[in-house]
This record gives sequence, C-alpha cells and structure tokens, in this order.
Amino acid sequence: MSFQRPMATERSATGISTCKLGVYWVIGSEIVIFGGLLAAYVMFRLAHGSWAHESAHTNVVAGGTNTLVLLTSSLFAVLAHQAAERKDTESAFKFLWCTIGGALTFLLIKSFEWGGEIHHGLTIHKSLFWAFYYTAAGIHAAHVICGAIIMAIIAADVKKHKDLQRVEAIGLYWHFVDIVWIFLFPLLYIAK
Amino acid sequence: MESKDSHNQPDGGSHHESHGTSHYIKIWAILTVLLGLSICGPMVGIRWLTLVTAFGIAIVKALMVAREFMHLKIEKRIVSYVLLSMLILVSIFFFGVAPDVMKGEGQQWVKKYDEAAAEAAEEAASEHGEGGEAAAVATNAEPTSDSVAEPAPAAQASGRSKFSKPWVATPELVANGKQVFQVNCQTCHGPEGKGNGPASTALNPKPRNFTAATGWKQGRKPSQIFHTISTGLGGMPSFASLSTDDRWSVVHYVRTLGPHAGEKDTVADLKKIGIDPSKDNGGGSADQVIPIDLAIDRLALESAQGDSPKKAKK
Repeated sequence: MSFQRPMATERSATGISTCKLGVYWVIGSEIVIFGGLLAAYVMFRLAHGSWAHESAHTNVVAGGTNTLVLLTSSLFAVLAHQAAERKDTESAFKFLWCTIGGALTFLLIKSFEWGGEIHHGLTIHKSLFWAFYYTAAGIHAAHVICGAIIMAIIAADVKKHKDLQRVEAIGLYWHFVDIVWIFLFPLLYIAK
Repeated sequence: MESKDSHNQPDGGSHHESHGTSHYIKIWAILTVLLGLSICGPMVGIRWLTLVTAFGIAIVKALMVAREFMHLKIEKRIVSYVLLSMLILVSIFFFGVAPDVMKGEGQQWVKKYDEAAAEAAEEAASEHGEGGEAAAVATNAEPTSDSVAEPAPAAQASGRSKFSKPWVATPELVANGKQVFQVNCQTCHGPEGKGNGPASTALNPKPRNFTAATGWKQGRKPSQIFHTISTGLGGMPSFASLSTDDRWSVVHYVRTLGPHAGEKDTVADLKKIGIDPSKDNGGGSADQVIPIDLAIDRLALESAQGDSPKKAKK
C-alpha cells in the first residue's frame, strides 16, 4: 500500500492513463524494431531468389501450431482484462495464467522445432536466410519470455487485489507480441 | 479505464455483446479460420493467391487483434495515429533502402554477394551434401571476399576447369570475365578499365589504364596479364584467390578493352607460367598454385565439412 497516489491510473495529460500510454510507447518502438528487421528480411528475400531453397526447410506445422497457440493465449489475455474490469480477481488470475500457459506451450514447441533444425545443420550460421530466421524468431521468443515473466508478477498482484489496471497493460503488450508473430509466420514459414 | 457501462453505441446490436466473452471467442474463431486459410492458400500453388492469402490474411488478422483485442477501435484516435506513424517510419526505411538492394552496383560500391555464385554453391551443395553451404556462407561472411565463386578453387585444386584451354579466348570466357571484373576489378580500374575507378583516387601510381597500349609493366600478352593478376604488382594485390578460370576470363575481357589483340602468347610464354598447351587442362600443376595461407584455409574448411556442416569455419 503506497502512501502516494499511484500515477498510472490517476494522472494523465493526454486523456489516456499513463500506464496504458507507457505500454503504447513501448509498442511503438517495438514496431520499428521488428518492422526494421522484417523489412530488411523482405528486401533481401526479394533480391535473392536462392533463399527459396533455404526457406523450404522451415516447419509449417510447428509454425502454424504456434500461431494458433498465440492466438488462443491472446484470447485468454483479453478475457483476463474483462475479468479485471469487473474486479473478478479470481478469474483474472486464472486467465492470466492460461495466457502464460500459452506462452510456455509456444516456447516448448519452438524448442523442439529449433532442436530438430539445428540437429540437421540448419544453424544461424548456415546462410543469411537462417540468420534472419533465428534472429527474428529469437528476438520474438525473448519478448514472449519477458512478457510471460511480467505477466506472472502482475498475476500475483492481481490475486491480492492490487493494481488491476496492469492486466490491461500487459494484455496490450501480449497482443502486440501476437501480432508480430502473425507477420513472422507467413514471412518465415509460408513464403516458400 | 474502459467499462462496459460507458458504451451506448448507436450502431445497434447487443451492446453487452460487444464487450462480452462470446464476442471475443467469435473473434478468436474467425482468426483461427483465417489462419487455416493462410496455410492452405499456398497449397493451391498459384503464386499471387499465395501472396494474397499469406500476407493479406496476416494484415487482416493483425488489424482484428488490434481493433478487437487491444480495443483500438474504441481507444482514443491518437494512439492509432502514433502506431501508424511508426509503421510509416518503417516504410520509409524499406522504400529508401530497397532500390539499392536490388542493384548490382552504385556510385561508390559494388555488390559483393553474387547471386549467381550463391546459386552455383547451392548446386554444388546438393551434389556434395550440406558442406557446400558452408562455402557459400564463407562467401557472404568475408567482407573483403574477392572471390565470386568460392567453391570453385577447391575444384581447381584438383585441376578440374570449367573451360577447356582457358588460356584461349572465347566469347564465354570474355562474358564471364566481365562479371568477375565488375565485382573485383572495377573499384580500382574503373568500369571501362581506364584506371579511374572510385578507389583509384587514393592510389599513386594510378591503376593500369587498359584502354592504352603503353604502360603495362609486365606486358599485354594473355600469359603476362594472367601472371600479374595472380601475383599482384605494386599497389595491386594478388587475386590468386580467384579460380584460374576466373583469372583467365578477366585476362580475356581486359584485352578487349584496348588494342591488345596483336599481343599473343607463344608456347614458351605459356610454359613460363606452367601451362602445357598441348593438354586441355594445361597439365594441371603450376597454374593451380595458390598462396599457402589460402591453401591452409581451404584444407581447414574441407576437413570441417568432412566432420559436419556445423563445424565449418565462420
């Protein structure tokens, strides 16, 4: 219990709560990070038709399943937000952990996928395509990991009826992570 | 914080539904169907259809997640504008840089990653297993790579040339020579071989002007030019890392740039650089000489490839 009023919900110069605005600034900078990386990938991909040989080896089943997993986890995130709005901390906690479960499933599938690919010699050093593949998906996975950790911390607070507005905030971040993957999937897996 | 009660939307329909669980599940179901379509699209095999289904659907899905899950459709507009301006920045990056990526050369640079050589490396890889890919990686990774066909020197070391009697000019060799010249030689010698390439401004004496008949310190005969390319001369480094085929190609191309056709090799000239003109591959040995450190690198690469593609040199 802080003896100062929390800034995130109370103060706002823009009409949007500071908490949400902060997350949107983060999302804004992530757009140029991922956007820059993927734009560079698209440029190179268009210029080098030989990459089609390489990209044929990405695992669409793993990628597609992971897309479904992330979509579902986004659903749970928005349901958590909905529960937090009606101050139902039990459900919010449960839904947040379902989202984290989605994250863990995503990472599990990815580790099997990458393990198999690396075992077959498809490493980050193999060619520029694979360098992009592992970098883009890897940076994305790092965001999934960090998001899941933050979500777990927020879930613990939510259980204590603390800082419920953060459920929406982490939800926003999570939806963005989902959107990045929505673009990664066709670029890395479908475009063969 | 948005709450259910503040939405008296005039758009009709069930207002509670717009925030209700079933609404979100409906959106999720649509997203799943779209995912299925984007996976099935490529199976039809029509290229534009694949692009539309894969990327068009991705855009639709992203917008749906943004509008419905992130609630951007009821959020203050400024948020959407900020995010849009970030996307515009990315587009500026893309459209600013992409034209250069598509080109082979610019005013101050030449593309060193050779698509044709990479394709050739792919072919070699499919014959020799995945080791060939490592050679292609080596081509990409070396910033000062002066070889456009890195896998070829390994072939050269065992005497296999793509051309029969490469010391004799053919249109094929000249065409190949032009490609090799543009990537390796043009920076100093200039696009027309006049010795006025962008890098020549820093050089003294200036690089050879191939359009002139005079000034060739080691002569204009094919064997002499080959020798110069292979061993370097003054400020010019040795280009022995190029395959002998590529070096001969450049020899013949360079000779077309000026009045040099009269300077021809005798058998003695060829023997001086270790070629026996009576044999198709010149007899093998002496003209396949490469610098020792390059040979050691090649051996390391080949032995790494023998163990596993993963352990190939960086």
